[in-house]
Amino acid sequence: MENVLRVKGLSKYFGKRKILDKIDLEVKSGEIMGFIGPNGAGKTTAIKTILGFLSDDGGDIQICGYDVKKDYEKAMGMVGGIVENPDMYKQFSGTINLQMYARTHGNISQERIDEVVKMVGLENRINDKVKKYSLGMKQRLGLAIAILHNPRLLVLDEPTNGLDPNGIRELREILINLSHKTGIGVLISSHQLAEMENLCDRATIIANGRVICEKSLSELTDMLNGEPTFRLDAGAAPQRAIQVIRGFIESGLAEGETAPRVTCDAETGKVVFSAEPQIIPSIVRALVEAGVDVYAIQKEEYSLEEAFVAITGGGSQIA
Amino acid sequence: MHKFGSLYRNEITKTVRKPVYIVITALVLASMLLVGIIALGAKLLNSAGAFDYTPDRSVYVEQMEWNENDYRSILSSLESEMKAFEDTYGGDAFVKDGKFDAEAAIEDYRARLMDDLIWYADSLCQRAWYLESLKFKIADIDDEEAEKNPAGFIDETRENLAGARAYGRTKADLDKLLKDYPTVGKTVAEYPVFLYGERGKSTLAEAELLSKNIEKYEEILANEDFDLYIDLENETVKSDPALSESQKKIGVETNEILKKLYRPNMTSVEWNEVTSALSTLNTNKMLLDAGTDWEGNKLSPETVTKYRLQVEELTKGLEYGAPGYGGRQSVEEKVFVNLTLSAGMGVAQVLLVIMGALLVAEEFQSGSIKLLIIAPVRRIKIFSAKLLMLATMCAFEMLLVYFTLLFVCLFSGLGFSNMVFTFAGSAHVMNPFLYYFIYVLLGFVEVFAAGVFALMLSTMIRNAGGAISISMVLVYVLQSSVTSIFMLTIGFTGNYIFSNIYKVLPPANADLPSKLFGTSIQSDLDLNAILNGGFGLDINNGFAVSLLYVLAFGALCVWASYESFIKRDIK
Repeated sequence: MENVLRVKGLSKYFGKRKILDKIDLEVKSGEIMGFIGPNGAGKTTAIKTILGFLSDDGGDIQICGYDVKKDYEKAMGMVGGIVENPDMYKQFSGTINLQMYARTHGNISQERIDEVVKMVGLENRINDKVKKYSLGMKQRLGLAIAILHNPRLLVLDEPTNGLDPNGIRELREILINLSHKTGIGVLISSHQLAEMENLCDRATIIANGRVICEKSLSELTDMLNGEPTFRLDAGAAPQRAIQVIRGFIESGLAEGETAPRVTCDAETGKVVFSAEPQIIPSIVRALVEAGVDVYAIQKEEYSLEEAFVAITGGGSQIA
Repeated sequence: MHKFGSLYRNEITKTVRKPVYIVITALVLASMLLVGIIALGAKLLNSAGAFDYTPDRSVYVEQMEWNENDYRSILSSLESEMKAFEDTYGGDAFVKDGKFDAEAAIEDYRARLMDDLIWYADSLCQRAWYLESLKFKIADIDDEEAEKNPAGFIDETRENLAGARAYGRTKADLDKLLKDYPTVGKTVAEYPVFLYGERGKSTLAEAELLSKNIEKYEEILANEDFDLYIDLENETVKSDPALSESQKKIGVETNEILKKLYRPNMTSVEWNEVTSALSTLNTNKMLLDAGTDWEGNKLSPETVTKYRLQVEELTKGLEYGAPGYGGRQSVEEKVFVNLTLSAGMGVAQVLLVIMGALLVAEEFQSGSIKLLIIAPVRRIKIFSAKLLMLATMCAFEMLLVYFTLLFVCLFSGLGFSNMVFTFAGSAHVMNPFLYYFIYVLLGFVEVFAAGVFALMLSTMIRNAGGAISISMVLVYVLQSSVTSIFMLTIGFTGNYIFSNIYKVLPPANADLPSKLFGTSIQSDLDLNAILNGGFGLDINNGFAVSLLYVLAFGALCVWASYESFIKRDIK
């Protein structure tokens, strides 16, 4: 898949303060790239720099192979986007907003306008003035404007803001449909990490103006998951269960290997331990043989949010 | 180019749908039409005689009636004298070859005087006779006749005595006549009533002319024929022996201008305007002709230039009926036209300042700037489209002002008069349509400069309310107050250098049209501005300096706006 966005070494200062520190970012055709980071990490600054709102202080931005500095108009012709809020001309109807934007691209037919209006589900209200729209409707209109000219790259900054659950689901369907069927590359930042998890193919995590990691969603969670963690319900004998499990695991350790921690969750009374999944049946047998009743055993998995907290060191709120 | 056109079209769409634009444009129209309606109302009230200064009848007719009364009274006295003359001498006395024979009349009078002398001499003889008789009566008191009729004798004696006394007075008269006899001819020549000598001849000529003209006056009054009136006036001027040939020429020229400017039902103000302008014109012409002032002092070259320019300006003004020169458009109408223009342009300037201030700042405040920036066009095109839109709006407003003015002139009775102005050392006449077009064109430069000033603030502070407030304060309040303060420096420093400080401020009062057209020579200061300024290079009042300043100011604002819009981040 070709890169629709390639950012290399992008830097940006506000005065003496470094906001972006040589960040690299790539979005491929047909993929949805999540762009996540805590407040003040530099997500919106990066997006604004990519879209030409801010000048850069170093680095290269290429959109569909066009250098933004050299071929600005060609590069920007390939992009659609919403930055922060979906702001538009509130005194005009949705139709006029779409028509005005269409003019700046040229060669956009009324049929295409009708098509995107239908796609975002605004056909009943498109002739109302935008000032009468709810935030969700503005988001839909913003998306319609962003995709009106069939861009190759869609850049969305917090697009789920103000959307109700249905709206979020519809947006997800539209974006997945756009990226996977028409091959648009999508760069999306959002604080709805659960949504991102359902939506993104890959994610780039940014903190303090630097890209910390960039992986596919499964790679990201697997990276954290490593040796899986299990939770065991041993009824009233968690301490006995801990002894049995620790003994069993230690007996299988090679010389010099450190035994994994086996602990009791004080809140739930459950035993928490890490182990290779293939030795779980043996552990269960050992417990039963030792007279410990096993009520339940469950494998734990990390969410994107947990991955995010783990990677960014926690403490920061998710932007 | 296509994208620029699209952006421009979008800017127009955004502008024409803005309530503030629609409201203020309507205000431009309304303010001008309101002045037009007031002008029309004033005109109608004036025609209906609502104002004291408007005579019921044409001022010219009034003038004619005065003339007629004057001439009729002269004529009646002349007629009575002529009648007495005819009674004495007969209608054809002293007429030789169809002309009045003054020499014969003088001879006749001398002869009559001689008759008188003879008569007086006879009277003297009579007296002598009476005296002799009286002596004889006294000597012969014992006369038989007296004895027979003493009462008759006494009566006859008394009669002789009275006769002697009466002829005694005649003796004194005779002595005087005899003494004056050598100068009798001269005395007769200076005696006007009987039309002898040089004065007699001219009086007779006047009488003959008036006698002939009285029918024409009646005709003029009956038909209100002003041309005939002027023709008669010209004949009077030409036949006035007291005037020199050049004065006669000036008089005839004046009458011809009057003939051209006269129209029925002029108000007295208009008539006075015409006649006072003509009076100034004649005075200046005569002073130039003489080369001296009224005291006989030689005119300085500056004064000659001033008079020459005034004559040129007034001649053209009067010839073309320009406002302020007593033409077809009166002073009141000029005031209304100026009010209409300044109302329209004033409101249009407010609009441009507001629109300029909103143009960029509103996009930032509403966030719609993002839609513009994300479009595949460079910022220079976005900026240029906005600038062009502002210029288009300004041009539209100015055309609106122009056509509304023409409409108001047409329908309120203000009319279209040629315009006269003095510029670069000579007077010029201009077709009113072109004149007003240039007026609004210069207005465009000024109003647009104020608009781009607001645009500059708009791009710099990115806040519509702030941009409007600061623009308004700088354009309308600060300039006039700062100018007023610095004008005070003239009193201390004796020059205008510091008073020009206002030129660093927005050019709301640069007043280019009046710099170009408003320089009627009323004072030596104006004259200096016109002469020394050449094409307006005078630092205080020069048109070219002001135009250059406004253009430079506008260019600076555009450059600052451009730099701010193109280079600054949109956070």
